[in-house]
Amino acid sequence: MKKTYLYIILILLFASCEKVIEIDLNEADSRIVVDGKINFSNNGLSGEAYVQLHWTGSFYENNTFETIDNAQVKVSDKQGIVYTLTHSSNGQYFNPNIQKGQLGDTYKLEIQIDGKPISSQSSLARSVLIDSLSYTLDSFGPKQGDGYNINCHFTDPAGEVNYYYLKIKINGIYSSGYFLSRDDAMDGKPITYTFFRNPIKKPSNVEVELYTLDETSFEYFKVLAMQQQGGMSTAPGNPPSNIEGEAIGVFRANYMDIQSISVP
Amino acid sequence: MNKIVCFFILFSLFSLSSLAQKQTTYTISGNVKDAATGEDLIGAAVLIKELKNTGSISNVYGFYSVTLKPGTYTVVYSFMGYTSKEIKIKLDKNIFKIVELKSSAQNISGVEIIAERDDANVRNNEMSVTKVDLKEADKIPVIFGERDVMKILQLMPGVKSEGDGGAGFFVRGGSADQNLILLDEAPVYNASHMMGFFSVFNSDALKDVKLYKGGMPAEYGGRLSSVLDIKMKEGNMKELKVSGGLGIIASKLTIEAPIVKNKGSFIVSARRTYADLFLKLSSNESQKNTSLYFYDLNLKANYILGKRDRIYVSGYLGRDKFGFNDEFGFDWGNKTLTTRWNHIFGAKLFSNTSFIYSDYDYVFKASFGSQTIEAGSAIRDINLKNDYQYFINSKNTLSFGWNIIHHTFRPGDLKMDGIVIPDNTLEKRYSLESALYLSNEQKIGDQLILKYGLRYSNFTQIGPGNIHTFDKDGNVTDITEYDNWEPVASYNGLAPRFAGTFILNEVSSIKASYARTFQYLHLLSNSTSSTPTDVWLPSSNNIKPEIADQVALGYFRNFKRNRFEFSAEIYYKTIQNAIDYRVGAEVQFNPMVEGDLLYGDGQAYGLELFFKKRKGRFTGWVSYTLARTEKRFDEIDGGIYFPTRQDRTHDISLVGMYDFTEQLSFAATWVYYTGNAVTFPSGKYTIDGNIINLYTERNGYRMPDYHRLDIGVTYKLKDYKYSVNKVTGNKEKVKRKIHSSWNFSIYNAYGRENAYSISFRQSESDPNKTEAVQIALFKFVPSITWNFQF
Repeated sequence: MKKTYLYIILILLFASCEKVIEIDLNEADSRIVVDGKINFSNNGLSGEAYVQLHWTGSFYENNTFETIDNAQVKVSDKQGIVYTLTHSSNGQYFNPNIQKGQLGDTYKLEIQIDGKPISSQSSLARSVLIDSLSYTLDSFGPKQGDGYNINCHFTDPAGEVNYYYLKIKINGIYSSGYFLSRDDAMDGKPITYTFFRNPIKKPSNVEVELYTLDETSFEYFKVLAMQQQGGMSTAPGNPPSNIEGEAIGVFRANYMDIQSISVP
Repeated sequence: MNKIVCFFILFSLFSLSSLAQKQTTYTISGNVKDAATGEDLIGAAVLIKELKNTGSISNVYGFYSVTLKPGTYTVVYSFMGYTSKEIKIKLDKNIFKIVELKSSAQNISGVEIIAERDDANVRNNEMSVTKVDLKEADKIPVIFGERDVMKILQLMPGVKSEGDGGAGFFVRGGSADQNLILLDEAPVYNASHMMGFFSVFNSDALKDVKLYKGGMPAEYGGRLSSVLDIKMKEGNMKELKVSGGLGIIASKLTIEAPIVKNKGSFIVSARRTYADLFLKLSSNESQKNTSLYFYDLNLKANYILGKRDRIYVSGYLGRDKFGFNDEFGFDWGNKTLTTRWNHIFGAKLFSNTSFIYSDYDYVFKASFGSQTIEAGSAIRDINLKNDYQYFINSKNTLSFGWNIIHHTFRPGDLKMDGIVIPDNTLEKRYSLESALYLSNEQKIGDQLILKYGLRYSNFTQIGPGNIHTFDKDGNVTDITEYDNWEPVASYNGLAPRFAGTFILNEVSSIKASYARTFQYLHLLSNSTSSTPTDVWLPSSNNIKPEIADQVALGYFRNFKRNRFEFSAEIYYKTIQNAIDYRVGAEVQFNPMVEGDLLYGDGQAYGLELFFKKRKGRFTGWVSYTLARTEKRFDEIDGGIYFPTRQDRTHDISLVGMYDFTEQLSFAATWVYYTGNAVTFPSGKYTIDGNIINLYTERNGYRMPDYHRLDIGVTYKLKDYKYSVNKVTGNKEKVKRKIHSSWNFSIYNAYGRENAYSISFRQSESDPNKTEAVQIALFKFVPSITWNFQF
C-alpha cells in the first residue's frame, strides 16, 4: 500500500503520461502450465479436484491458451487411494469424490503428458469459515465516495501460522487479482479483510470465497500478487513452484468457504 | 581499543620523525581564506616558487603547513577562481601566516587573470574525483529552477542519475546505497526530497562538494563505490549577508554574519517548498486536500578560540511531509549534528576531533474511522572521530586517525492508536563500526606524487536481540538470544589505498589508483527505484560485508593555457558478497528479511572521457561513459552474469553556457543514456483466472533510451547605477546594495516522454489481450526563480 501511495504522490503532483506502447519481446519456449486444486468444504465429506493444463503463450497473442487434452491426471491421498481425473474440455480434468483427510495430510498429483511425468504435492491446512460479510462506504483514498468496500470477517485459529486466499465475485463475475492474507500479528484474533481495490456500486450481489492454503502455495500466490500490483517489483521472476517436472504452476489442496451478501 | 589507538599514533609519529632529516628546518603555516567573506579555502595550493614539486595544499579547514630549510623563498598561494598571491618570506623561524585571496570575479571582468592557477586537475594527486563548481552550478538549468549539486554531479562522467523520479545516483556501476554521502562529516542516509526531484543539499549553504569515484583516501570508508564529501559554509566572517531565492515551487533564505569579526561567524539557511498550494486550486476534492511539501534547515557556527584552537557546530534538519485528508500521512527526513574541535600542535600537526550524530526515519500514518495505524523505520548513528594531519616536511604529509560509530537500526515498528504492537514490531538491531587509518602523501623528485595508506575497519553486530540464522535456502536454522553489548558477529577489513600521479610535463599527467573498500550497511528497496521507505540493514551473522576492489588509470591533459581540459580514465572493479533478492522477497516489516536475500559477486568496468572549455564567453563540457556492470548469483539463472539495473552502456552529457552580455547568459544541457536493464516477460499463462507473465531471465531487456534537453536563461539585474558625483560633476558607477537575478528554465524542452516505468497488464479495452504500458513523468516543466543577495 505504501508503494501505491508513492505512485499517487508522483501522479498527483506531476502530470504524468501513461500510454500503451509496443515493445519487442522475445518468444520464450512454450512450457506446460499446471493449475491444480482440491477444494474441500467444512461440511462435505469429499472434495472436488480440478486440474487445468495448458501451454504458455506469447505476450501479444490472445489470452486463450493452447490446452492439453491428452494427459493422464491422478490424485492420491495419504491412504494411498488413487483418484483419476477425467477430461471434460479445454484442458480441464475433474474428479468430485476426493475423500477428505486430516489436518496436514498430503495429497499428491501425478500427470503424464506424452510420457513425460509431472508431479506435485500439497498439504491440507485447517479449515476457517467466513463469520460474516459486510460493506462500508469507501472513505479512503483518492477514489473515495465512489462506492462500497466489501469486508470479509473470519476468526484466525490460534497458535499456528495461517495463510488465506480470497476471491470475490461481483454480480457473477470474479474480480481479477489475487487477494491474500496472513495472520501476522493477528494470531488467534478476528480478521477483517477489506477488498479496497474493488469498490462496488449499489445494487450488487457479492460472493466471497475464502481458501486456507499451505505455506508453499501461499508463497506462490504471494509472488503473483506482488507482480500484479506494479511493474517495478524488486526481483521480478517466475514464482517458486511446487510442480516437479517440465512444467510450471501450482497445486493446492485447500479448504474453501463461500458466503454471499446483497448490497441493495 | 584506546591503547591500540595510542600505540598506533605514537608508533607512526616516532617512525616518521626518525625519517625526517636531522637538519634544522622551519615551518610556515597558517590558513588560506577568501578575502571577501573570510571563508577558509579548501584545497588551495601553497607552492614554493624556487623549488619544484614542493609545497602543500590547504586542508578542509583551510590550514596549510610547509617545512623548509632556512632561506628566502617566494610562497605562491593560489586557488581556482581566485587571484594568486606571491609573498616573499625570510624563513629563519617558524612563521604563522593567514593569507586572503581575492575571488577573480571581484576583479574587473573582461580581463583574464593569467596568474590564476588552473592546472590543478593535471598536477593534483587526485584522480576519479569530481569537484562541483558552485558558481557554475548557478547557471545550469535544473528542474523547477532549484539548483542542485547532485544534479550537476550527474552530468559528470561515471556518475549516472537514477532517472526521473529516482532519488539516487550510481557511480561506476555501484548501486545507490554504495555512495557515502557526508554533510560536514555526518552521513546522510537519504539524500533526497520529494522522490529525488530535489536533493537535501541547499546549495546556498554549501562551500565545497567533492565526489570520489575511486582511489578514496584512507580516511574514508564504509561504502563501496564513492564518497560524496560536502562541506557547509562557515558563514561570513566580515559582514552580514542575506541571500535568497523565490521560485514557483520553493523559496529559500540564507543569513550569514560574524559573531565577532574575524573570530567567529554563523550561517543559517532555510528552504521550504509549497507545491501543495497549487493543489489547493484544483477542482478535484481529493487533490485539494492533499498536502505535500518539504523544508530544510542548515545551521553552522564557528569560533576561533586562538591561534591553535577553533570550534565548529553544524547541523541539518530536513523533513518531507505528505498528507491526505487527515486520513493518511507520510513523512520522512534526516537530522545531523556535527561538533568539531580543531587543534594545532606546534606548526606541523593539525588535529580535528568530531562528535557526529545522524538520524534518518520515516513514519507512515493512516486512520480508519477512529483507529490510527502508524508504521515507521529509522537508523541512528553516534560517531566519534579523530583525525590528524602531520605536515612532516615539504615532501611528506601524513594523515592518520580513528573513529567509532554506534549504529541503531529500527527496521520497522507498528503502532495502533499510539501504542506499539509488539507482535508486529521488529527488534532493534545494534552494531559498532570502527576504523583506524594511516596514509602518507609523498612527493618524489619533480614529477612523481604518491599517496599510499591502509585502513583497518571492524564491524561488530551486538545484542540485545533474538538473532536468527538462515541456511542457503532462506530457512531458519537457529534462534539465539543475546544480551546487551554481547557480540553476535564480527568482521574485520584491511583496505589498502594507493594513488599516484606522474607529471609528464606542464600540461599533462598520468595517474593511477587502487582502493579496496568495505561496506557493512546495505539498503533494501521494495522497488527498482529508491524510495523513502527503503530499509538499511547491517551486516550480521547472515549478511557478510560487501567488498570492492577498484583499479583505475587516467590521462589528464590541458590545452591552450588551461582553457581546455581533457581527461580519460578507465576502471575495473570487482565486488564480493554482492546482495540481491529472492523472487518474492518481502523487504518491509519482515523479521525474516535476511532469509530473502541472495549473495553473489559482481564486476564493473568502463571508460570515462571528459572535455571541458573553461574560459571565455562560451564554457561547457562533454562527458561520455562507456560501461558495463554485472552480477551473478547461484540462485539466479543458473549463476551466469547478468547486467545490473544500473548497467548503462552509453551515457553522454553535454553542457553549454554562453554569456551574451555581462547580464544575460544562456545555458543548456542535453543528456542521453542507454535504458536501464530490466526484466520483462517473454510469454504468459493463466492461473486461477488471472493472466500471469512468464519470465525467462533476470534483466534481459532494456528500458527505452533516455534523452532530454534542458535550457535556461539567467538575467542579472545591473549591480551598479550611475550617479552624478557632486564634487566633480561627472557620472560615476555606484555599486548597488542589492544584487539580483532572474532565472527562467525549461526542463525537458522538447517534451520527450522518457519511460519512468513499463508494466505489463491485461488490456483495458480488450480483456482478451495483454499490453505494455509506459508511464512517463514530465514533459516541459517551466520554472522561474528570482535570486537575490544583499
